[in-house]
Amino acid sequence: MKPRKTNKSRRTLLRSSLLGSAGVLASQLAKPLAAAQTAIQAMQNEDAMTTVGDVDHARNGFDPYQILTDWDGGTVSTLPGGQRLREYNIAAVDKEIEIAPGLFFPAWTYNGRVPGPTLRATEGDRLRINFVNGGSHPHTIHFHGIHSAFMDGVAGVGRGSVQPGESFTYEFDAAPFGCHLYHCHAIPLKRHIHKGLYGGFIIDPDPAKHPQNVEIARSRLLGTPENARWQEFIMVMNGFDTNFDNENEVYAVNSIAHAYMKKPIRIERERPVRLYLLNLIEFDPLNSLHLHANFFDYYDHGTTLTPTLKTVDTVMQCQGQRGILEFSFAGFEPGIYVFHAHQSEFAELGWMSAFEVVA
Amino acid sequence: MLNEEGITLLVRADGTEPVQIVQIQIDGAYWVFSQNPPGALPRLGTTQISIPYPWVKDETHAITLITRSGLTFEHVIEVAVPTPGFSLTRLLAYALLGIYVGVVPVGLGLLFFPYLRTLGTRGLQFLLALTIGLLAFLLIDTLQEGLELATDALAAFQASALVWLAAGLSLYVAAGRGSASGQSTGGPATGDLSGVRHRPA
Repeated sequence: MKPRKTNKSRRTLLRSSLLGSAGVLASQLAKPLAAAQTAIQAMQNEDAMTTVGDVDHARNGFDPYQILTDWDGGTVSTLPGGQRLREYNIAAVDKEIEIAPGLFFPAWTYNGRVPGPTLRATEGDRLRINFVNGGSHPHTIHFHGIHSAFMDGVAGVGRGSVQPGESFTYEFDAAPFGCHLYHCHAIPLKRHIHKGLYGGFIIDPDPAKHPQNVEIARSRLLGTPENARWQEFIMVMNGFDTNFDNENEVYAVNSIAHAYMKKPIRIERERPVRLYLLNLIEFDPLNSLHLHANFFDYYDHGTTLTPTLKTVDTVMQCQGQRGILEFSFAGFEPGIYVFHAHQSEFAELGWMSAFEVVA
Repeated sequence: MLNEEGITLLVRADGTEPVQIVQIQIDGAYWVFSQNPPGALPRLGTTQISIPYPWVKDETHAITLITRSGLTFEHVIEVAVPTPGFSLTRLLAYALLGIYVGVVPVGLGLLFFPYLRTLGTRGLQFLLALTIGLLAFLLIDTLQEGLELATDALAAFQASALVWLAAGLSLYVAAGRGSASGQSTGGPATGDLSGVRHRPA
């Protein structure tokens, strides 16, 4: 009988301690959950969503702040018939560029920069673009504009691909006026574009040809006093697929992720703003721009002198689409006004920018 | 590791070339981070990455490490829960857990020992057969789990070879000890299973 008794007491001991300490155990394991969550709510690191460090623009050889306004009018002369001739030299160059701090992309570039030089001409000018392929693959320049089939700059059409070491001169009249682009049209097309071969191509309207809207045309024409009032910027929305999985790891305006967020673009409050906005993104069908605390008029393709969209704060562009945004911060409180892709995904991956409006 | 400071990762490099982590995306957004020690990671080198990210309990977070050349390495936290910190009460709690999982079941089993003694030879043989079956199952299960874990480890560690090596070694040691103790590894003779332990003479 004795051993049985021992067994019984052992069992009760086990049972009671099992229940008791199970409770202690559960409460102990649950305790830190609540604590960590409240602490996380309090953790407000508001500028934490960004890339770490700074891009060395000098090493890149181009600065996103200069790209905003460095219009390339080419070498200007007058043809025997009186027509103005603009000559440009563009070379395709392989170059590793830093697109986010510490992150290097093996780009193909026009003149060593992405986006390439912003060509700016006036409606009716004769354009002569001397293209040299200094890269490792066949390239072309395909202009969005009006030109002959031979000058189309497409692989297998007209002059076709320009082989490495070869050159070709594209020649045509600047038409129609608007906000256009040029890009490589060699194959595979997607890769040649997303590697960095693209740039802005702006044709200003000739006021003499637009008697109905002379003032507006003059305000668009670089070099006029009416145009000097405006603060004009070119913004090429682009992205980079750094691991070649057909998805962009970095999104930006003018290539450098978060550049205009870390150092906002300075805007004088009383002078109007004009953005030449181009979408050169690959892999994603759409891109967009959303301006905070303000609205703008939008000229799709820039080929009209009256807005195609009035009073909007977000505009959407498909691949290759572009347009002109006009707005003013006159009378606004000075400060930081953010603009970014309204695809939050793009904004979080680098396409986040800001204006600093000063009185 | 997840806590009120955010997320901390221990990163080990597997490639033959040194790797520099230049940016981090978490849930598809670039985020600030600090690395300790900083600099490029040599082969099999480790570093700690701290991201002050407001993670959400019970939800999934994906972290992408980006190297200088733009290569990406993903790590997914399937269900975010805080990593328990170290404290005496926690240690005790886990000790208790160990006792309940490891010691108590054996104790409970021993309580049945007097009853087992009343069973005949056939009964005991049946129970032993059950036990051997269970052990065989555990062997297969453990091996399978070990090999599964091995696929998650870095290639440089040759983890699945390690699993088989460890298994072989254990078998060797167990067999060695069994024969050294002077018993036949076939187990004691069936006639003596009345609860009296066999001891070497």
